[in-house]
Amino acid sequence: MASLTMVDLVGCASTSSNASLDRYLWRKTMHSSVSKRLHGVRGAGRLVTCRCRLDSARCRSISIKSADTRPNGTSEVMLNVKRGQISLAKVFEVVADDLLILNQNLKSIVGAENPVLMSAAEQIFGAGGKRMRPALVFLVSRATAQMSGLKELTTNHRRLAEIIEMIHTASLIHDDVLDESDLRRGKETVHQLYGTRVAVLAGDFMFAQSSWYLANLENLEVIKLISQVIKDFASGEIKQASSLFDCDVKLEEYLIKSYYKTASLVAASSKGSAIFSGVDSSVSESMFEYGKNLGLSFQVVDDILDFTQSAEQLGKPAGSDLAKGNLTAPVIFALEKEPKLRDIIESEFVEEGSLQHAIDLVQRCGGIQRAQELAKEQAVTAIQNLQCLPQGSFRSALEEMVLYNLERIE
Amino acid sequence: MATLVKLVQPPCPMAFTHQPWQQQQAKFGELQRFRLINPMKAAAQSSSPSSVEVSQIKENLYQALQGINRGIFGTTSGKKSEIQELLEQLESQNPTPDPTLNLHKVDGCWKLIYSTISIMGAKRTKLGLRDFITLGDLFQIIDVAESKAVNVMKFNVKGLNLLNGQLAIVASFNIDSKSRVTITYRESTITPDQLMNVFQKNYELLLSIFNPEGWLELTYVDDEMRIGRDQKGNIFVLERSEERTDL
Repeated sequence: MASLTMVDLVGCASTSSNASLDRYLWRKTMHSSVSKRLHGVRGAGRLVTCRCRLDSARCRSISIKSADTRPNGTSEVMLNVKRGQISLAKVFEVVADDLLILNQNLKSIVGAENPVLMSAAEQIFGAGGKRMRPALVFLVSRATAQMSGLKELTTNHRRLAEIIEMIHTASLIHDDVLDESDLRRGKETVHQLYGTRVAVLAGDFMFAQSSWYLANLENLEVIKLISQVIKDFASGEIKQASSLFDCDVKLEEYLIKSYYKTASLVAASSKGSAIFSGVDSSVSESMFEYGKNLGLSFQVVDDILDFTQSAEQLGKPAGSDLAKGNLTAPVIFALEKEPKLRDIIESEFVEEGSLQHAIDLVQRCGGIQRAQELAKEQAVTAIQNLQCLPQGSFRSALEEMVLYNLERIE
Repeated sequence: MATLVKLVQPPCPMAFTHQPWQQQQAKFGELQRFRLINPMKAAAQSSSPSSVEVSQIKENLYQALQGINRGIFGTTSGKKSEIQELLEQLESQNPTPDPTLNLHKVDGCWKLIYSTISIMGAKRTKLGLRDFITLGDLFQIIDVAESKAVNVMKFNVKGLNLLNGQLAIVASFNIDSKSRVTITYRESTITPDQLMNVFQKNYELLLSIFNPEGWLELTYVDDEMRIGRDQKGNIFVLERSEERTDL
């Protein structure tokens, strides 16, 4: 009898009666009787109000249908996300030591040769980065290591995490040059401090260094996997630049571009971690899918925030993606409903107030909502991809990563 | 002790001294033109009140045209209306209501200073005219003897070689009425080859923007300036140019 796994994450108060508090999450495996009940409501947009024992605040529930290859039909994964706070620090607690070692190693890898590069490295690797990508590498590594009986992380695992962070950082340095940004994570960008030349060279150096370390891992599959990412970064930027202001852009193309720019790195690093743990290729593939869906969900959320966040934040330009002609998920959805939007975009917002008008249109015709749905669908798929992993703190942390991302738009 | 500088209001509407054409290479190769007219010279050409008025309208026009890169890459509707009105004012003072009977007045080389054609949005991205290629001057060379008009669009490609080139569209024209001609496309060439490679994929798009085919109404012609309105509803404002263009 196939049982349904329901991932039910409910935000509840802990000891105090304060409404918005630390999250507390648990997971339930449904009995077959319940699975029959859920099975029967397939196709209905079911809403579940969760009853939290201690908290009086209402939890919002989202019921999403997702296709699955289970023999008894679709499995329903329900996400109950409360406007609470998932603290990344808490999520990464289980790999905190790994991250400490990583930080130490990074500075020594990059800075050794040249004092200017050393300073640039200090600047960019200094406090501020969330180290999300290496943390994911460690989490996937440890979760998959459990499956293959590995007692401790290998040097390859650690090196992979360092390589991933270097590649990510190199791309950020170059991005800042291209965008002419002055600030990154509250600090001045490398090119702002040291000039464009140094920024370009520092980025190049880090790409080159990471390639060298990658080759020294001597695993052909992982080498190909990660090299592909560097290629994908460039492809993504080019794809984006050649479709600015193009209102005919399809969601498909947007997803491919988002994959190249963001998800590719996460997917490849998750798969690489699994490969180094020596697990089955089916597990590695699932890890790839997890990384891909998490990455895509992340990008969609970023794109939503570009519309919604600037309203609250003072002094930040609203809809900077849209202003540049970079048409993201909310806009693509809105264009399907509102033909007027097309004309405004084609005019490149030359008329005063037209950008704000466009943003309003996007919100009014449900572009943001549909993008939120998209992000949630991808999140659900990501969590499903984790099913092959053993239950435990590492798998939980990986699930929380997905939810942390969704909370940014709740 | 502060020195008082008294601003004296000159008798003529314009208070500029004569200076030759000044060109400034602004950001992204945008050419900004500052035209300063000698009021004495303008008055000397013809002392009738309407020509002084025309000079004033032209002055206002050049003022309005500053910084908008000929209007091709986006202008506010306010600016468009402003220019539209000035052009209509000029057209109401057209000294040559029968230009096709005086074709020598349109013969020669002209440079585009304003048009309502626009290259924006996806079109602009596809043609690489955003950061990669810059649109330079647009010339029209009219050869009355051969009933031929050649439109020359200059481009420069940023990058290691700073490639310069042009698209030349050759067309012939027939006279329809005393102020209207019909233009027929003949051929087009892009030189040099490297520039052709750049535009290969979007050649049709490029031509569709710059193809002069259709009728053209010559609504204003004088010794320095020409205004035309075409079949597609576009307006073209050109000034006489001394520049040599290699065809």
